Amino acid sequence: MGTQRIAILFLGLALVIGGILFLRGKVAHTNTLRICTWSNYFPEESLRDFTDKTGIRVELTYISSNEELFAKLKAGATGFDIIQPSDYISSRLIALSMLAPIDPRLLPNLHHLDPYYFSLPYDPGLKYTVPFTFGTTGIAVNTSKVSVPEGQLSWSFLLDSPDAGHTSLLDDMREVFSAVLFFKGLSPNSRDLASLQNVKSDISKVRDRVLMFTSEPKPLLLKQELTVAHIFSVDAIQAHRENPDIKFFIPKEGGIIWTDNFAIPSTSTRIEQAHQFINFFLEPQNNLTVVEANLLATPNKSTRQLLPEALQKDPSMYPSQETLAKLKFLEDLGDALPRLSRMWTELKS
Amino acid sequence: MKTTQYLPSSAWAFLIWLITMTLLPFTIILGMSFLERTELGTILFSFSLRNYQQLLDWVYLKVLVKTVWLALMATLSCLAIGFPVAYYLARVQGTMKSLGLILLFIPFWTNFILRIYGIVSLFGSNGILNQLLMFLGLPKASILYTRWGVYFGLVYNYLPFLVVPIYSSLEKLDPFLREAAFDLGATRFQTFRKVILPNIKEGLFIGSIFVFIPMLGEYVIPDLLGGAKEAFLGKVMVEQFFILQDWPLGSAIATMLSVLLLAALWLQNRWTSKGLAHAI
Amino acid sequence: MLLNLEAVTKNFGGFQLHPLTLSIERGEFFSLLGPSGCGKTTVLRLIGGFESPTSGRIILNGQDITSLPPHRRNIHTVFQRYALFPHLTVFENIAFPLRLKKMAASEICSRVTECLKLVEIEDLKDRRTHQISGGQAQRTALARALVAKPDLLLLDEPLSALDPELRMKMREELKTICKKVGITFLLVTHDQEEALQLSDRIAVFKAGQCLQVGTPKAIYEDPVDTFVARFIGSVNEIAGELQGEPSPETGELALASNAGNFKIKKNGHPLPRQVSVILRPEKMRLLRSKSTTQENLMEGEIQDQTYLGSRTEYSVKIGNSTFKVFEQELERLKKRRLNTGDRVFLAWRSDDAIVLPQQTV
Repeated sequence: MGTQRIAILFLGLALVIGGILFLRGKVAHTNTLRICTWSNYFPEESLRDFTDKTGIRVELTYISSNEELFAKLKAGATGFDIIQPSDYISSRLIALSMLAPIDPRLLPNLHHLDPYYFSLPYDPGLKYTVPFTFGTTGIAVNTSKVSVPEGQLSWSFLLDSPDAGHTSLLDDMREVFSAVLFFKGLSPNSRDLASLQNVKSDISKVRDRVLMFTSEPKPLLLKQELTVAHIFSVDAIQAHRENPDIKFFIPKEGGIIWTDNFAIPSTSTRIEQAHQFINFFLEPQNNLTVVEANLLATPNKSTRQLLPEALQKDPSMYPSQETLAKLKFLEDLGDALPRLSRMWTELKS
Repeated sequence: MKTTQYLPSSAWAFLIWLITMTLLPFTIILGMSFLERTELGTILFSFSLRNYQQLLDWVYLKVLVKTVWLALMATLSCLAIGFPVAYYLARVQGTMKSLGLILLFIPFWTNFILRIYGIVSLFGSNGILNQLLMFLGLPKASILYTRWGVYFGLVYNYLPFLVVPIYSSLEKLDPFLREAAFDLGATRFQTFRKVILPNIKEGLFIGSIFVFIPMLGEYVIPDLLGGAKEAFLGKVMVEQFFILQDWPLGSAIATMLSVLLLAALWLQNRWTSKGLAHAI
Repeated sequence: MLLNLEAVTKNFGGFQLHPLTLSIERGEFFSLLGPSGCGKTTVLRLIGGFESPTSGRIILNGQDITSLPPHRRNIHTVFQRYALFPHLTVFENIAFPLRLKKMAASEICSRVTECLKLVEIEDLKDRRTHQISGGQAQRTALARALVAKPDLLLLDEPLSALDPELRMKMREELKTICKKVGITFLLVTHDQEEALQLSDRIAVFKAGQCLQVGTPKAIYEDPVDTFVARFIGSVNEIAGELQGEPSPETGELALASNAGNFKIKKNGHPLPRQVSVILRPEKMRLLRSKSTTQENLMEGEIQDQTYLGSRTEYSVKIGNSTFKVFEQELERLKKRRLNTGDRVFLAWRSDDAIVLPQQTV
């Protein structure tokens, strides 16, 4: 008898707690912003500054990947006022009308952004998103182990690596295909099946030679298990900080550029306060705090000018205009995606 | 004998739990496997067998066969190593037994990812093993980022799950059965084959299932220790849900795995007359 | 002589089996009797091959089997909890030893059927071991041990798990089967009544030592020491001191004790002055009044009586001790009824007493 009652009590309690947590998602204080963010992104002091200045409280929820964010939103999560999607997720969200439009009148600090970012292919004119960081994909090389030839590096350095046994590719379908497409002088967003098939066979040869696929090569680079890695600029820069021999290169054929953005879900009820938040972090000084804390590249030209000279000129963080022109954003492939994913599965089997 | 028709109230709590936590999610997944995907990755509510048709494509079949083969080989390896361990633990007494059981269970109390990274430190190209080999002037062993690395990781990780049910059924055996068999003229080997084995059939099967089924869905170990060079069923399924935004296809794969599990359990039920509850 | 134990010893833990030399005849029903921990089961296990002796030899049928493992000895065992194989039917359990010998299927069938008939469980042959009762399991275990016609059958307290009524029945059946199949039975038990009823000969053990080997009658009437005397049947004891020398005509000797002075006869053992006189209750007569008799007489008071149907048991207080005595129902009905507190006399003949050296334990 006793255990029975306890069991029912427990179940009831679980349901009640679940209900409370669920309702909290629906009801909230008027002056709180719910932000879905990456861990350790916003420094404590910046958030306190914001609250002091505007009187708006901030509540953070953490996610660890874009896919997680997308899955949450698709599943119907409505409690967020600010989200931080990357470019390719943003374009999907825009197409699905899941984002609220950005009102430039509420963002007086918008002009601090570099003009480059006002004509992005996935959100021209920044109608729905505001970039807060950008990065590139390239090749990291441990120069003390592998010597790098004179002049600009080519994607062939990765695909036909001098140290294939310690080389890795990103475990990312689009990125790997893009590397070869760039090498062949084609667009990374090509939907042409014939070219893609060719690329696929090239990749299968590379696959047999390299050590592994990984989207987190940094620890292995530092452990010297890897000497040449297909890598995101953010990781490469952090690795370089710890081991100056590890250098980052953007190949001469070009590469992928990506952004992480602020966006406001269309279900948000605090659009004005959300704009205030975005505007606060467009302020160069505030942006600087975040950038310094995370070693990120900033699209904010005013902030950039506040950085030390060496950092401003660092090509791995801030590619030259010439290089910038060769960089491309990944775009949605529409109905070519399933076929590409099948090719990817084929490669991995 | 008259049986009571109504359930005691404690059974209702369990029933509710069962329905919400197991049957409901499974039904959702099953249902989703018959839906379609839009270009943008959301779900279209129209009935279609497209997902299952897609799975019949040789690419996916190849992944399935590869995964089943991997899980099978790893399970057999676990049996080869785990059975003697279980047998030893059941026979030995006192300090050795307690020590053995503690050693067996320590991995359960350690974080899974930490254990995997531990393997990387051991077998990596600059890991402890290779440093030893280099010191001895022997060529380096590259176990990691190959199939062998995956096998090792699977066996290492799942071994305790196999040992426990087998150990448990060995413990439950009447110790006098062995003596009776000897007494009646059986050699050690005959005793093992004719008396011990038939009575631990259930434990063996349970242990194997506990290990085989999760292995089918594994993707972390192939990624971390196999260099993500080969995609197994688990990875393909997860990719559908998170990367490729094809939830219906992912659900179809999940359903397929569930069907495999049910098939394995049905086989077990047929093979041992007493059924699942008796074995545990 | 079927089985010979020559100076067999076994040491393990805190236990020590004193050098045991024993022979068992072919076809006899032999029992090892003693309290728990006396070593009787150890002896059984040594014979069966489950333990190795620390020293000594075991000879079966003239062959030294000391170092042979159990499966090479032609000895089979009925275990205390039967140890039937749960994955086999009753038929298959019994057939097990024959299948190991790779006997022909037809012969297996006939032999097993024969055994099923012997222990009267033919209709159980297709049942599984969890579908039969305790008594049926015991018979199955017996059949399984007999089917291969071993030289010797060991039984490790096989009846202790059965209820009393079944135990009685099975005792009789065991004896019958033993004589019927002509196989030598070696039984281990702590139940002295069982040993007395079933055995041709008994070996009494205490603390690793075999105290006496003999027929039930010999053990009962002529125990070698007070422990054996006390272990078998009921006893009344008088501690006393022998006086003088036996009378040449009657052979009687005087005994002085707290309960009085009596006449006893020595029974061939060398005796010290300090002795213990064992009087079995059935050897004492209960008298309502003093009478002239050649017998020894003791006076006492009824303390308690227990009616047991065919007889009544009385506890009689004499001096500081209590004596147990029986009266058969037929006798009792002829005489005056006794109540607690009544004065009575106990009479016993000098040659009905068992006289043994006094023992501290």
